[in-house]
Amino acid sequence: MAERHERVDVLVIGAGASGAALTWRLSQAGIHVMCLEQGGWIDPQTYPSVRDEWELHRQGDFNPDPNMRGLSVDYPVNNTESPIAPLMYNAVGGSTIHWSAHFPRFRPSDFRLRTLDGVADDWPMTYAELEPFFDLNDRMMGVAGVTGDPAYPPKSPRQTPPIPLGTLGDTMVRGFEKLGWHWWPSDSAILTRPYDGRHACNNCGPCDIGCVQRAKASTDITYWPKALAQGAVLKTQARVREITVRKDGLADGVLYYDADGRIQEQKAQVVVVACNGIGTPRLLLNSRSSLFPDGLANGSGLVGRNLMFHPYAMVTGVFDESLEGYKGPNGCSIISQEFYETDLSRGFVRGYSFQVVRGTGPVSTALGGIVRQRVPWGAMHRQVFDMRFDKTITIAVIGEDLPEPHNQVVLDPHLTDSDGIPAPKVIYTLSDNSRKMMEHGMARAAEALQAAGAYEIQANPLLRPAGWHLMGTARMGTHLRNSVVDAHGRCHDVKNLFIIDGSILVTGGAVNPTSTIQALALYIAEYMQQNARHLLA
Amino acid sequence: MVETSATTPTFFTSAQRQVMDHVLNRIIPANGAFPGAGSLPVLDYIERVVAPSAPLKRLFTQGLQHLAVVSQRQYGQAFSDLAAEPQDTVLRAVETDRPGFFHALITHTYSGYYSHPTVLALLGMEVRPPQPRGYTLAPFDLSLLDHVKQRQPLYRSP
Repeated sequence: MAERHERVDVLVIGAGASGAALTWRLSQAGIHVMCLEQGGWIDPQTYPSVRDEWELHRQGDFNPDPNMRGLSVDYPVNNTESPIAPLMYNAVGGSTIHWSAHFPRFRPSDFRLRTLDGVADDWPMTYAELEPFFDLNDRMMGVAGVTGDPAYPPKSPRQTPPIPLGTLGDTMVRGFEKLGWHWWPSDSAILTRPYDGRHACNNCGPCDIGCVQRAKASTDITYWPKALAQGAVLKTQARVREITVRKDGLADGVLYYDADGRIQEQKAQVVVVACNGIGTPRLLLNSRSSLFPDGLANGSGLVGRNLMFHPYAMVTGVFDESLEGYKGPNGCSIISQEFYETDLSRGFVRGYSFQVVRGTGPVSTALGGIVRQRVPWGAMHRQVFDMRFDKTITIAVIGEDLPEPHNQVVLDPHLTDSDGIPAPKVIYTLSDNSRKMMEHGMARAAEALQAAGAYEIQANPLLRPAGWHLMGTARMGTHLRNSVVDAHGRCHDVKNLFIIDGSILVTGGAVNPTSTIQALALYIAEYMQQNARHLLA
Repeated sequence: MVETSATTPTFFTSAQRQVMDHVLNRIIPANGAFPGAGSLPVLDYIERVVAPSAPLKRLFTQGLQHLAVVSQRQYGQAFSDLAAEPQDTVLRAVETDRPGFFHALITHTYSGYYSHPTVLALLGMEVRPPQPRGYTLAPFDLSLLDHVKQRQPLYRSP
């Protein structure tokens, strides 16, 4: 028998990028919000970058792939039918714990694919409507960057100056300038000066193993302390098994396992799902009942469908000189959007961004760097290692992948997490359009690296451990025929159930989605707050 | 490199340790100032990774058995008694026949070697973790953007 707790106004599931933002906004308005998170708090002082063996943690507790980490707070993902492996982190802060903090916004055209290019669907809102929420979120997270980028409508002032370029960045800029291509210091959620009680980045390098300096924004150090001070409640090691429903078909609350594996029941007036593009459809599909035999809020049949990753092609240039590429945030922050908008003469619709990535440390270099081409063992080892170490620049080609119903998240019939909850399986194929886009991007990236002085090019046409961005599996739209939720994240067929994470994105853009996901969460929070009297009645 | 502790579980027999030293010196041979991987405590690192893992123990036991079999079959000698070139030939055969073992062997050899202070110093790096000191880089030079700023808007306004 489950232990019961007092009903709350709003119950949020997941304490990552979107759950933190919405909880902060609603608790600010005096709404009683509780959040359940399956992971725990991590003390930034314990991140591996303070230890001598820091690089080895990427093979263990800081591997971005939950299957490789295998921590008890993680759940496994069957990725055998996908060429891209999903990545995520489970903790307070979610995947912002291990992200590189690239923070570009989706661009105006990303909200209007059907109108502009005749593919996929328009979003139920525009860039202009989201803009105030982008700005608010930037202030909360703290963004390094500079205004004046011709690739975007004018933006509000950034919180701190851009990330330093270093020798590696200077070298790459020369390549883009030689070709006359667009480049810009991309917005990064990394402070270059003290801001809001947090320190400036000291250019230590490996953002992906957690930021000791608290310069990189993760929601455990941005939104959460403020939300808790406003009275929000956050329960950790609380793993939700299913969302329960009342006889009238509204959401009633959840059943979750506590740290000791005991089942607990929490009721709420409104339930908000913020478990990412894989965790969210998994939870909905696991929440079956006689009223919802195909999973909760799945009247459209679209829960789990239209899964979008960003396909990543990685192109590495090898240079003669040392580039000091292990100094500075490893995501670097140079972005080029020369090939972002549709030009059908290229043979595909939509486009891609380039992101310049800094060099890797000695262990990662030996194991193959970002393109995963291992340095050979044996007589040639020393020579090849010395040619590569600290002498490479990598361009990540990040392409817009269009929504396709057959790319999906389903429940695995056998695999479960440590509490016995069925685990997700991803089924994904790369479309022809995306493949052509990646080929075009790889050729252009090689050109840029050669213009910067690279004498050798290595390429990986589709990086497997690249499923950072999990999108589209509970999409927004106008009606149950075309979507799971409406323009305010509200499920069409369960009116007190909201979804606010990457699942609701209609299309994926060709930039990292977190800035846009969080802006949407704040936009939805605004709607919930304005309609609180009705929603919480 | 991870600190050795008194409680570290052991796995390799002394005979296996001897073979592994030879193997490691062929995977990363000594070259100039750089020592071979068998001359640094890389094997101790590998043992710390392998000992607690049943699947890795199985891979290494079977992999080393196969290495011995191939040495005897091709050269009629133990691996440790072979010269460098035939040792490489044997290792290439094992790489083909036992890819799982070989992948683990390479991964953990490289990891142990390239996290060792001796190697980091030879690479010209400061022998310390990235934090708390970090590194110093010159601030972003905003004048670099003057040229890009002059471009027409690159985005479409629907």
